[in-house]
This record gives sequence, C-alpha cells and structure tokens, in this order.
Amino acid sequence: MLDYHFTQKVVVGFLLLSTVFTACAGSSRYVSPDEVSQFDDRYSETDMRLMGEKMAQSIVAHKEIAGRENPCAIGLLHIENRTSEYIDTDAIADKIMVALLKTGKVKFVDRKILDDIFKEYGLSSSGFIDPSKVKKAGKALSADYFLAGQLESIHKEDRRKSLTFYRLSMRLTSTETTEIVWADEKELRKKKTKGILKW
Amino acid sequence: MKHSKALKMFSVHLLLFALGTALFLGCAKSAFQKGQEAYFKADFDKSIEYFEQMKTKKDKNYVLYMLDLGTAYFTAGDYYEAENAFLAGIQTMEKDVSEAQAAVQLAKSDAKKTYTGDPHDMAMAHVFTGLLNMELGDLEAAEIEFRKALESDRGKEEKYEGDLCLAHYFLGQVYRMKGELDNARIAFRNVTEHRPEFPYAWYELADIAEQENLSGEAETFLQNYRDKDNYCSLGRGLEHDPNLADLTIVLCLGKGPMKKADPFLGAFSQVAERKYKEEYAELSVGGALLCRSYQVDDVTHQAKTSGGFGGELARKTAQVVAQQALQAVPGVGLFSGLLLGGAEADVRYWYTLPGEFHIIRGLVAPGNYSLELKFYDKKDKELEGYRQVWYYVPVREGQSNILILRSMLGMQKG
Repeated sequence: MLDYHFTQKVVVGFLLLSTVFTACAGSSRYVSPDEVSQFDDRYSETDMRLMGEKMAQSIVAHKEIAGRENPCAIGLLHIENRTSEYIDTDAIADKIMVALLKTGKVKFVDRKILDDIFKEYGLSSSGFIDPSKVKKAGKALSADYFLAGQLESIHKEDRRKSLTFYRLSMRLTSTETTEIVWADEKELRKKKTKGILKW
Repeated sequence: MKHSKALKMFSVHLLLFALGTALFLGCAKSAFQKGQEAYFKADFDKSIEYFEQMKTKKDKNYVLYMLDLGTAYFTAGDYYEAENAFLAGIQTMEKDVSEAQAAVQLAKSDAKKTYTGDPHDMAMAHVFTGLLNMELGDLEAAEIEFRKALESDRGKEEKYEGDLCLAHYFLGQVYRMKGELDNARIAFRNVTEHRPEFPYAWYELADIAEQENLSGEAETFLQNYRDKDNYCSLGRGLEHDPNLADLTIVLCLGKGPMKKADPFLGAFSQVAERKYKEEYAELSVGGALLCRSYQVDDVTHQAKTSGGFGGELARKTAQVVAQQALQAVPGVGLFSGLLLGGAEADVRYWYTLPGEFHIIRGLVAPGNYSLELKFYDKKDKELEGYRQVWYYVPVREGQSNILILRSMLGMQKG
C-alpha cells in the first residue's frame, strides 16, 4: 500500500515538471491571413490590408470610375514613405492594384518595365527574333489616370505608453487635364502599453 | 616480500603515468582554441584549417565554431565560404528545439547547454552576411540580412532601441542603390539620431535632399557633414565630379566583448570589454592621405545593451523550479545532483568578433592603387606592427567600391 505523502510528492513533482517543460517549448501553426495581428505598435501586414482594401473600395465607388462604360487605364506611381519605419509601400500599391483588377472596372498600365519592353523591341528589330513572331509596336495603352500617394506617421510615447498614428493618402490625377479627380485617406492609430518588467 | 615490492613499484609507475596523462590532456588545446589563437596571430589559413576540423562536430558549441569559421573566412577574403559558415550558425541559432529537447536543456547547467547565441551574436551574424551579400552584388539578400539584424536587435531598453547604426547605414546604401530614396532617407536619419558625430550619414542625407530639390535642407545636412569630417574626403559640396569614384572601406577594429560570471549573481553572465589598442585609422591612397576612419558601431555597447535579461531570469527561475521538483521526488532526489547541472553562468562568446566597426570613405579617380592603413591609439600615437599596405586595389567608376578589412597586430608580416 503506497504512502499518501509519497504519492502526493510524486504527483506534485510530476505536475510541476510538466508545467515547466511544456511552458518552455514553442509551437507554430497556420493562421488566417485575415486574422488581425498586433505584436506591437509598428506597421504590420494587417495595416497594409486595411489600407489597401479601403483605397480600392473608395476608387471603385467613385463616379469617375463607376460611371464609365469601359474600364479606364491607370498608371501606378510611387507611394512615398514619409514614416520613420522601413515600409515597402509598393506592397500597398500592389494590394490596391490586385483588388481593383478583380472588379473588372479598371485596367493598369505597367510603366516600370518600359525599359525592358524597349529592349525587347530593340532585339526584335535586330533580326535575332523570328520575324513571324515579332510583336508590333504601337498598341500600348495610354494611361487615363495616374495613382500616387504618401504614407505618413506620427509617433508619441512616454514611460508607460506609446501611440503611433498612420495616414495613407492617395489621389487619382487625370493625364489629360492634370485634375485630381479622386482623393481619399485611411488613418490608423495604434496604442501600446509598456510592461513594468520588460522581458 | 619480492612480490609486494614489485607491486609497489608497479603502482608508483602507474600513478605517475596516470598523472602525466592527466597533465598532458589538461594542457592540450582543442583545435577550436588553436584556431582562435591562430586567428589573432593573423595566420588565417591555419585558423580556417582548425575551425574546419570542428565543423563536423555538431556539439553544444557548433554555433560558435560556425561564427568563428565565418569570421576567419571573411577576414581571409573567401566570401562564399564565409557566407555558408554564417548561415549555418544563424540557422542553428534560429532553430526551435522540440519539447523533449527543451526539457533536457532546462535540466542542464547553462555552460553545458547548446549555445544558441546572444541577441547581439544574431544581429552581428546578420550584419556580416549582409555585407557579404553587398560584396557579392546581391542587393535583395543584403536588404533582408540588414533588416533581420535590426529585428534581432530588438528587446532592448527604450533609449537603445534601433541603435544598430552599422545595419542602418548599409541598409541606406542598399536602398540608394535600389532607387528607394524614401527608405534610404529613413536609414540615414536613424544613424544621425543615434550617432550624430558620424559624418557620412549627414552627407547621404544632403545628397538625397539635393536630389529631391530641397536645397535648404541639403545645405543644412552638408554643413553637418563638413563639421564632422575634418578631411572632407567626399568634397565640400554636392557637385558630383563624374571622373571620381566612391571608395568605402569598412574597418573591423579590435576585439569584441567577452562574458564572465556576474560577481554578485554568479548564475548570470556579464558582458565585459576586451582590451585592444586601436582607436582609429588613417588611409592613404596612392601615397596621398585621404582621410581617417569614423566609428559607426561599437559591438561591446551592442552586447551590453541587448535585451534578454528578463528571458534569462525566467529560464533560471524555471531551472530552479525543475530542480526543486525533481528533488521532491523520493529516490530521484538522491541523483538530482548528477542529473541536473548547477546554475553556473554561460561565459561562452564569439571570440573572433571585432570590437568596433569604422568607415573610411572618399572620392578617388578610377584606377589601381596601393592603399596604406595606419592605426593609432587613444593618444594619437601610431601603433607599431599594425600598418597595412594593399597593392593594386582597383577603384572602378560607376560602381560601389567597398573593401572590408580588419585591424590586427602582425596582419602583414615584414
């Protein structure tokens, strides 16, 4: 017959050990891309998604775009990063572009690869390419609008908390009249409370 | 009688043999130690040879073998092998252990555990890999490595957050080469915020402001550069002479930090500075003095201010709890001293890590040059035996000319 105290010690020791060992081991799993991530008060992929979606919805709903019979052609210019963080603003632009293309109401013209395209035409006219396969120039789309913007941030902090404010502002400019036909902004505020013991 | 005498003699001889063997084994150095010694005698081939012997030993110090091997290859100029070694070290430091391994690790004393690197080890390994990728022309990979270095540098006290200026500076260079002026501006601003005395970041900010037609701002930044760089090796203005090329030397100076047991909390380790004589260097190109070096980062400072005390405290607490729990189990308690290690501090460290990073930069006409580096101490006295001369160094127009060198006594013998 086992002694009660002996059994108690074994159980307590086992439970303590299990807790300690389990707590120290890490794990990983898949999570939904739509799940909000909030590790800290810095720029995150959730911010990129929220900003991109807001801008795309706003553009598509605007009368200049919604009221057209045929899709318009937009050239994407640079989104300036005026924050104090290293942010790939091209990723926000890509997010907007993908969302707009899916609506079918907008076309995009890619001006970043013009140099590569001209090189390809140069190669075609050099006689190196099979003449029957050469692409003919003169069919490039002209952009109806240019889309550009800037991302700004303001960061404030004291000993116990910090507050970061992000603002993405974008505008659509007519290539014909230079008129800004659409503009919108998306603001985000993130608050962080600092722990007393910083691990 | 005769037998007992013979037995006595045999016992004495056996004892002497055992003592001699113990002494010999105790004094014999491992290949790892020999490799470290050879490194600081500037015998890099020998150093590499010894470190390569340790490569196949996937034991608790594998990370240290790889980091030292990477540094040896890096200093010797074999960048591909250096990258392989650093990446192997980084991958091991990043690897998550299984629950079973975590349990075993918890039971051991720190000195007997697999070395997984301190935060500054990880940050510096990424910085080295980033520099290697820049040298090899892979800007995308370089950007990733410098950003990982900055990520590894998190978890510090607020005032030291983001102060890894070496990573910021070269990240800025990468962004400039990629045409991302916004991010380049952020990078150089980070450098001027944490290290306002470093001149080249001010010059870069001036150049970027000029490109963006912000002449007033450009002039302010340029004046800051002129105030910080007595030699004005990048020129007094921003007009770019198309006939001149940019030469940058990254100088790894001195010896990185060591670790020792905290005198009050013996279970914890403490970062300590290793003494070295070099304070700065002067560069002459083709016999003409170009400029001196400026410190962009202090590795000992990074090690002292890197976070992780809270994590170490938690680990030590968990270790003590585990030990107490095992001791409470009858029967096991007797063997707990054997099963469990003590709580002694882990004083292992990256032996060949440099103590500081300096940058020397200037505009030079393209061509092949002899470069001479003279090293000076705190009292501006030239250090004997440290001078380096490199012959037929090409400086090419239209591309970044970056050289990475290390200060060391006897680097060039004769």
